[in-house]
Amino acid sequence: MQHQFPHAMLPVALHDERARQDFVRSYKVDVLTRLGPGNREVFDRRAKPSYQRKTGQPPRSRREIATAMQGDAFWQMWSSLNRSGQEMMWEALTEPAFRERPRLVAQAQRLRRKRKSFGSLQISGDPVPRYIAAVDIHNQPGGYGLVLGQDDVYAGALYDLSAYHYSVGGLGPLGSDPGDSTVAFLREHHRRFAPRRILDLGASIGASTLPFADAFPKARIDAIDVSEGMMRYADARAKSLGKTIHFSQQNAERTNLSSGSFDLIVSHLFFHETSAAAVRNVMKECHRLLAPGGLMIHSDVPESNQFHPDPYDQWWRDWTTHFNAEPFRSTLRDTSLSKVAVAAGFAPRNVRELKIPSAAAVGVYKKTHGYGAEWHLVVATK
Amino acid sequence: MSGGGVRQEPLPDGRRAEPAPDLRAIHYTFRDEALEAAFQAATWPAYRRRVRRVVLLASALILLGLLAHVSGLQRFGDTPSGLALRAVALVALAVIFLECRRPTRSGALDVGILAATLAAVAAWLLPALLTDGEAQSPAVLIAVLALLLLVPQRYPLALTATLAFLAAVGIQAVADPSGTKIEFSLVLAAAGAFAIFNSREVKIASRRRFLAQHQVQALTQERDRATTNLTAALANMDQALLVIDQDQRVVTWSPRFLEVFALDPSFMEVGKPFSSITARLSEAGLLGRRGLDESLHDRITTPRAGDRLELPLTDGRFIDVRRNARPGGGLVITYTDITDRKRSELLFRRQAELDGLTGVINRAAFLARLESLLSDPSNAGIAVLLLDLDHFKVVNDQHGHASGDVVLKAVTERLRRALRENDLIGRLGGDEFVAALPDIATRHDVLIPVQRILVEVARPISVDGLEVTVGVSIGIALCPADGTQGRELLERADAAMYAAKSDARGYAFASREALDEPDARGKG
Ligand SMILES: C[S@@+](CC[C@H](N)C(=O)[O-])C[C@H]1O[C@@H](n2cnc3c(N)ncnc32)[C@H](O)[C@@H]1O
Repeated sequence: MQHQFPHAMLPVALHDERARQDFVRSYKVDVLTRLGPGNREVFDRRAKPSYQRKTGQPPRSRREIATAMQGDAFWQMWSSLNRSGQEMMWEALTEPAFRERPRLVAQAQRLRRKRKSFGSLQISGDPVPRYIAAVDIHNQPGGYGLVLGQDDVYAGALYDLSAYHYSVGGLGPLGSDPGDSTVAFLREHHRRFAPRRILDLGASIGASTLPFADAFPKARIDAIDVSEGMMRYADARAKSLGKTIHFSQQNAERTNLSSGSFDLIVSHLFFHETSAAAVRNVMKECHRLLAPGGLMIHSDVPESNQFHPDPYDQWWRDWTTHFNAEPFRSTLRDTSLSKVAVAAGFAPRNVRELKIPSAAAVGVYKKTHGYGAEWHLVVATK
Repeated sequence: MSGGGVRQEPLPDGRRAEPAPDLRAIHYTFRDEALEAAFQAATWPAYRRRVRRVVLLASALILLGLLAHVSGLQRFGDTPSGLALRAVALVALAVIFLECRRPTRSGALDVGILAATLAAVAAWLLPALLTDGEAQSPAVLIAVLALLLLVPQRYPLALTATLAFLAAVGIQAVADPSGTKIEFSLVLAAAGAFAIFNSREVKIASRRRFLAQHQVQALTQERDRATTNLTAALANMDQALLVIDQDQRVVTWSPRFLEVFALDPSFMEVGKPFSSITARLSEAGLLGRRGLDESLHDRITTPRAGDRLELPLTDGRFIDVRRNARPGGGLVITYTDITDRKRSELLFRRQAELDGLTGVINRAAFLARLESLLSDPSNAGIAVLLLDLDHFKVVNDQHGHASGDVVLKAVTERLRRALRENDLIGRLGGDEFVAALPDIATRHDVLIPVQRILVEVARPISVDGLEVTVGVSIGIALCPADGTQGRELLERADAAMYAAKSDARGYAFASREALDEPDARGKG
């Protein structure tokens, strides 16, 4: 596993903190890859027969599997271990991030002063939408909307650390794998495509935005997110890495950007943390913002039910909805994003969904998440 | 005349020297003078009017009889004038009959009157029919006698009338044995009616009736007066009142009851179940949004005699509720608004609980409230934070105590801002604060609140135009992981706070620090 790239905005963990992080990471991998498959055994050998005895038929949907499994002692134990792992991870990341917070705030201020020519930053100070404020998504303490004081970058710092640890390094040293993969896809399938204006939605810390700056050096790149902590951090992070991106704190459901002004609109890992209503709105906004002939690509984890017909797999993926504070994830898996895109105004023949290989395809990630190191793309042209 | 004996009986004005010794006289005049006066005032004019009418009619009949006698009319039936006379006599008799019947509706009297009247009519008609007006045969007399004697035996009134009638017939038979004269019959009929009318029974019965009416009236008045007084008393009483029966159904209530609980008058009904009132109050939100705590709720919904409770309403009022057993089952419940008293009590208590400088609660009050938080089973978990300011002594020494006070107040304000509204904040004294955060299930949940405090408190505080900066070290103990008792948690948090003093993060958990070696990471 590669180390996380030590850019200037990354919180530096002390020796003990690092040890704790290492422990939690190993713990999580273990719980997921060594104990996790036990649930399948438990289901096949114990829960399924007992369900069949009680109801006269085997569980067929993910809901019935949930009923069959919910009382099982192994499953309960595994679930608590997994949840504890998640909480321990956040605590282990919170420690260095919080300790480093004053330094990072000052660092960001300094970078903004010193590297004025690298892109821009606009903070509206608007509160985050209710669906974000109401949950600490995947248990990130304080959630995406957290602001701990003036010029705060804490939410971004925490996210940066977590993207690496959560994925066990699977997103690469800069957490840019989703963006890298999309760029690779464009290079292969849209070789001639040379966008002049690019927009990244729900960009968070801009990890997936940066590859576009490298791939399309002549393009102007905008990146938006509702969280001011994220945007401030993303701006400083990009500046520290010498990339030029224009960040602004905005809601992607209704931006202040002008219609038809983008050739390429992308998002990464965005929809699975966004309410269904917001997803519909974002699609419509994309349609508005795209120039004729422009391209829209939304990339997310390939966990849609269309890729996983086995109800056990579907149930298995519900864990994070129920126990990891990701309320929108199960709903998204049931949703056909193509249909949403068509409803938003895209012509059906211009919309397609596909899976693409991960650019990094780092082994551990593949192993732990079982996603086969792929991304699920919704691609549409206007 | 034979009816004269009856008429000589004392009339109801009865101003006799002495009340008659026999018991019946009691019914004749009332011993109670006021009652007697009332009776006479109520009955005498009408009575007199009626007597006058009957006397008039009877006299007219006698006159008619004499007229017939003088004009040699022996039989009524054979001439037109005879027929006319008979018709007039019949009408007069009917009127007399009705008149006599009116004073009382008692069955005894009716039968007596009927018997007497029938006798009179028979005595008058039969001779003419059977003997062709010549003479009254002894057989007819015997038949009439038998009829008269048969019917009224059981009735003193009828007996009196019959005797009077018989006497008259006897005299007539002696005086004129050759034949019954029609005029005599008429005289006899009138006399019979008189006898009935003046009979003691009639008078006694009317007095009884009056007495009964009078008593009913008196009782009604008495009751009305009592009710009016009671209603007035209830309406003016500061206490509200509700009476329920043994089935917990409403018997009565005072207007104040509606006021106290802001109930619509149309809502209350006799027989309404008590539970529907409490349901209505909860619906209106008066009893608290989350509902009352269960024991209080039980005591309100199923009240017992002798019970007393102080009911806090959500609009800030306090109602003192007392229940007493109601004779015959059920309860008399009184409600007294004791808000004023309660407020001053609470104010007094609150003041004793508060830290004078910062306005947050003091140590004792904090412990008490923490205990009640801990005993609330709905709490997923509680974090107890012990906060100790860093560098506070320096501020005090360099800028003086007044500045120290400004800093403490500012810190309190910032703690308030960093924490949620239902988090508990207290000051232990000096530069030590304490907080209790409900609904914290794991250490993960407490990270952000704690970090918020650290960031807030570390912001510069302006004191007399100068900016001073203090820090804070926070020890965290979690219930139930680190203990379930208030003092225990405070001690654990205190120990953790000392660990936090030498920790770069500024906070430390009780449980892990107990396991860890003292930390080498000094605070920058
Ligand atoms: C998982 S993160 C995205 C990660 C990022 N794109 C990457 O690939 O590294 C999701 C982000 O979406 C943002 N977000 C959620 N709803 C949004 C909305 N309606 N408009 C803009 N951003 C939103 C959240 O604040 C969060 O930062």
